[in-house]
Amino acid sequence: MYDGSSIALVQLVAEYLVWLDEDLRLQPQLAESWTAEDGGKRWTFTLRRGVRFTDGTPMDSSAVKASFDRLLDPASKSAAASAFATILGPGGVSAPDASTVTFTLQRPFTEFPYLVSAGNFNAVILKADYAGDFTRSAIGTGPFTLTSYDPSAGASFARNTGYWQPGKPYLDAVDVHFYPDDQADLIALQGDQIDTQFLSVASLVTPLAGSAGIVVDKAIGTGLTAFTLRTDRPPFDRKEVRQALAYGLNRPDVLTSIGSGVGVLGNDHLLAPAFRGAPTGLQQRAQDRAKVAELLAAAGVPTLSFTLTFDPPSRDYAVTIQNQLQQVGITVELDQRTSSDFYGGNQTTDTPWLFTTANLVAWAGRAVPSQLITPMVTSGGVWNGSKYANPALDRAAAAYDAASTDQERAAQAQIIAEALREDVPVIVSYWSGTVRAFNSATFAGIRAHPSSYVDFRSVSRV
Amino acid sequence: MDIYLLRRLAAIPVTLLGASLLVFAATVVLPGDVARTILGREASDASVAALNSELGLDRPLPAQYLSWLGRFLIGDWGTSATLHAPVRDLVLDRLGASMLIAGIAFAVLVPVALGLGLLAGLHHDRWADRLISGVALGLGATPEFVTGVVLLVVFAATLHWFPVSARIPRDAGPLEALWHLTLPVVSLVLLCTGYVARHVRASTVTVLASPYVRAARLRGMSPARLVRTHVLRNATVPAASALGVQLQFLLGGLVVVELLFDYPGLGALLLRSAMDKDLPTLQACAMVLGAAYMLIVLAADLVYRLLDPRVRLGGAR
Amino acid sequence: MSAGVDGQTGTRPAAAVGTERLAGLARGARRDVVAAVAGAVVAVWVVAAVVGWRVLTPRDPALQAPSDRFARPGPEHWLGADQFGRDVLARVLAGARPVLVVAPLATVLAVIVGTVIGLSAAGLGGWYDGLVMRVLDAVTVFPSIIAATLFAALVGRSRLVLILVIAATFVPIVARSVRAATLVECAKPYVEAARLRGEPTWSLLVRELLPNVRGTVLVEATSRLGDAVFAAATLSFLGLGEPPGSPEWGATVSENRVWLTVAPWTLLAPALAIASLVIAVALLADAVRRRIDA
Repeated sequence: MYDGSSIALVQLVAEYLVWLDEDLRLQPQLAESWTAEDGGKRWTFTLRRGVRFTDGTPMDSSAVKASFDRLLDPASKSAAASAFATILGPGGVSAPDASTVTFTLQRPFTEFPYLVSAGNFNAVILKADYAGDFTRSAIGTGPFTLTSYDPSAGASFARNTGYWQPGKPYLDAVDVHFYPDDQADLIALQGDQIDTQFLSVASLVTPLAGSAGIVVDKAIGTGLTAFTLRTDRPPFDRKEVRQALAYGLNRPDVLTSIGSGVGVLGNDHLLAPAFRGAPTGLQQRAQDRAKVAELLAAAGVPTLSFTLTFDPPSRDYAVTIQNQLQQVGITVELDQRTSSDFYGGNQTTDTPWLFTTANLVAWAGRAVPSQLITPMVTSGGVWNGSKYANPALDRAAAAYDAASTDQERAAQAQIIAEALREDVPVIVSYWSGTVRAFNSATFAGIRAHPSSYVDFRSVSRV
Repeated sequence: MDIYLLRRLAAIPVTLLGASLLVFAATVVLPGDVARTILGREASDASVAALNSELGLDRPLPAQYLSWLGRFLIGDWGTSATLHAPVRDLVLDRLGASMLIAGIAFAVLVPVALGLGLLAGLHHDRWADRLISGVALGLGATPEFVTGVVLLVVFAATLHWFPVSARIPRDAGPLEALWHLTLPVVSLVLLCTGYVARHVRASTVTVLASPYVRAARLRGMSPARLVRTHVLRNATVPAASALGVQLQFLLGGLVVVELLFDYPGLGALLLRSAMDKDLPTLQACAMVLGAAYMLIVLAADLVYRLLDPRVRLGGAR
Repeated sequence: MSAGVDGQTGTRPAAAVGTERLAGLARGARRDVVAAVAGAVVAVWVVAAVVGWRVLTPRDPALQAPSDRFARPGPEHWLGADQFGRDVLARVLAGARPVLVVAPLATVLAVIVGTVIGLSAAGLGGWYDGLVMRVLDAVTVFPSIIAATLFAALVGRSRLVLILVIAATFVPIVARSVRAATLVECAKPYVEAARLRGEPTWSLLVRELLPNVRGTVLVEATSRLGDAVFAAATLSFLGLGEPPGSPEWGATVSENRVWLTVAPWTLLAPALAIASLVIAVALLADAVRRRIDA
């Protein structure tokens, strides 16, 4: 699955071991319970009994093992492999009996259940003999079944009468229409051609709330656009210069203009307030022109100018950054690339999103902070565009993953947050909340979700 | 006539081949990684390399081009890198959609432009002519997206007489479909009418001034009969050639109109695939659009020659 | 300015041809009210482009003011504000410059190159003419907007690319037109006379033929200028050419499309600006054509 729409389609039909609710709390789904042993290095999940796939096959540990083996297979082209990198390798999944699955990790990871939850969208449980084309053989345990699929038009789903949750889903059918862009999608919502959207864009739907029965439900989020600065070459090899940028931005204005007011301010570290164990007590950074001048002078760079590289989705943010920094005397040149160009090229030597001096990269919400911290700011992290390398942070990140108590986790989080806030390899001006627009005159029970998941189980007509 | 027709027809595949070579060269030379686009940025380098190999993108360029050409000719147009759907179905479907709008626009354009041009010519140098000529000139110069935006703001966003999107719902009947297509068709017609109407006007004026017509008038032929028997035929022949020129703008305008009105046509697909560097789709779109355009131009040219037997074949030299 | 007519049939001193025609044009334009109004409109935009927004409005077109987001037209913002709270009027004024830089440059380039090609093809004739015509035919395979779109989309966005692409699509038209006009001239006796005199070809082209096709060149220039504004706005609308954040009219219309129902003034203002400019240029071009044909 490659994008938000495909994910949403699959989630109508297939399910996860663990569900993630709107407050990012774990809820049992196909797994009833789970325990950790060996300091978080071995996890045992007990599966729900009596659940069947839509073709009658029972959902058991062999199906679960096969689903994860498929994701972990290095020959598979799944993007999920990156979520498990350094944590779970091929061969780490075993099925001691029909209702039990054991995961043996490569290192202790106390937030592991998040990685097999809906937070890792690829981790759906499919049949053991799943051959690879979901649109042709869409067999899952979920509330709906796929009845038709046309890649350029849409898909249709019907109620799964054998669904394991009694009485649900309430809806008899779901019709999905595909649109080429957000604007077309929005126009369809306004025109009553659709009742809700999978991926609502805050900037487009918030002005519409209240008109024509459109309600915009809001939820917390852990998505962000990382303003990454390369710490290993001028001008951002000096911490003062990076901090100057951080103090030059007007974050509330960014949240209003770019985030449409949906979300919370960011403080240049990767521990969103929505994550449990997120640090508190760190002073919120705000625009301070005097400080910008002071920092630049201290770094010996009285006039600063640089090029900001980005792809089309981040264009508005880039223009806003350019405008705000211009007011504190910093010149920003904009270099917009097509998405295929921005993310293309050699990932280890020259791809723009990981190697340009300053760039904007949008990150979808994650369930746990280590999924952002490990790849983005640990030494040698696979998506470390800032080339930041701080051994103290690396140690704290590892300790965070292995922390067995909430206090320990919070303590490590504090260390990580302080380091990132001080060194500013990445500027985080705000964390996006998520929205979902829907037509309240006809439907109830539609909620926004931090990872834009769609839970149609509790949706009903008004 | 036959040799001329055959020569023109034969020229089409040759030109298309050249165009395909150009498009291939352009897309290959420029940055953008097909496998990476398909798999997304978070896929591992190994997976991307594997897919690139599977798609044959690590082979030498001439081999890639010939392989693409071979598959294209037998109908295998590959899979879209960004839409993950078979290109042929996508492109042909979109072609139908675009031809629908273009066809309706053309069908409206012909009588409207002819009518206005005749009217202006018959009343030449009087206020009706000034008005028509002026408006025609103005509208013909205005980009389709500008007239489109004004139409959208006034008739769709404010008055709600027409929908904002031209996208036809799957279960819509013909009337509802036409309702959706009204605004984009009007935009295209407004653009092209001006030029054709002015040509019709010019030839109408010329015909009216000709001794033949003046003699018929002196003989007492009624104006209506005059128009029908002489003016209409002689004035509209040059109009056919003018219409042929406008076909270019009609097809080119499709890209803009489809984008503005959210219409899933070939023009929008061409633009999107060019921006996304979706090679297979881009190649197919370019080929289909090029072929459609050349066939339409050929047809228009033949109609013109059929209508006017005075035109010598083979071009002037 | 005096206009002198040489005693010999057919030839006139080049300078005399030009000034007489210009004087005639000026008189004609003054007489024609419509053309005068059109000229005024163009002048307004040229002034805006040359002088810049700073002189004309206190508001900065790039200044973001989130508290003014989607402000309706009113005393604070005469034409309203966009999604960033930027003043729409200021952006419209600032948007004149990009289009009035690209379009004239593209036109001048196209006219120069096209005239050279057309003039030389007709004047030299033979295999060269044949080759030129073949190449021109081949180049016009695709509708020009589509070809321009494809090229600009693949090569990347920049003003230079825009200018080159637009110029390239006009060169064949200008070349054909100039060639046709030159061929007409070539049939006239003075050309034969010049050849018999042994005048070198390049001299014939530049000193004798070119001045006599000046009218065609001028008509082409003014017609293509309108087309160039059209093309520049359209290509920017399609997302090619201007850097992000540019107040260019076509790009602004494209970006604000999504706010059609929320803030239509952000769309109408740049759209009407484009309309006013293209229509004015077209009317002027038409007036020029009528004077020259008369």
